Amino acid sequence: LLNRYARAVDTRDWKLYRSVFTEDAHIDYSAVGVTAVSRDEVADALGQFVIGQAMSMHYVMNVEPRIDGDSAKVTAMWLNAVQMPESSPVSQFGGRRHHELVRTAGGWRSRRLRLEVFW
Amino acid sequence: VIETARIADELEIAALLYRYARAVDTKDWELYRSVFTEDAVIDYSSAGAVVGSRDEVVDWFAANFGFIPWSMHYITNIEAEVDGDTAIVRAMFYNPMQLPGMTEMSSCGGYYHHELVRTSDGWRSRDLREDNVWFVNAPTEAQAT
Repeated sequence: LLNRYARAVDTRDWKLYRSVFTEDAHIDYSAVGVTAVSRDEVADALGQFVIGQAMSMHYVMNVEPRIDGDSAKVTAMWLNAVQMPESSPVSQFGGRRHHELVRTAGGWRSRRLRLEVFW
Repeated sequence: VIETARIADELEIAALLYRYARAVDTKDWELYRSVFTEDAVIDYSSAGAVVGSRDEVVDWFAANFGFIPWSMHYITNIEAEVDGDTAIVRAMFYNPMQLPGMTEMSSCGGYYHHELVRTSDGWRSRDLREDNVWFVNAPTEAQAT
């Protein structure tokens, strides 16, 4: 699920992005200045947010799930390599993502995400 | 039972990709061969490098990669779609390395696209295409500045 999230953002596939979350998910990207929190508003805001990026690659690692029946809390580390306009230097950022997941008929989905940025 | 088989496939596929990285980083070309089928096609053209059969690529690596003091291929975001005895795999790599003649470390990153097949010796790749997306401190960059 976390790899699908990265693939959705990096390929700018906002339908795939929505499929990571429950319809009523609460998404907190305040760390990067996104004020919207509902899934569809955030998907639209992200579409705007990445317009200036020629490419991004969200590496996901150190995935730590704590599963409790049909819900789970997951913390993962991310490292993002981003190129702003074509052929400018690559910038790198890192932080953690905190998900609250729920088991649905369509598999695990995130109903809450909070982004932390460290560097 | 089906779920257990799926998890076993995913673990074996991840192990294959880590073995690939270890083969390249330790310059162990016999180990590199063991990742692929004999008739595999390997395409490193996105990084300006070799395209060819397994043996052609190994010859190219032996001639051109041995000069690199070190590299570390971190493999993450492995996504495998297993369909019976074949699998389509996408993974990300993050590759810091020391290139000869460079004072600072270089690094690059991108995707691996593999077509795997289940053999009597486990999963093997019959098609690898590397999609190199970014490069920091490339040798040509340093020469230009």
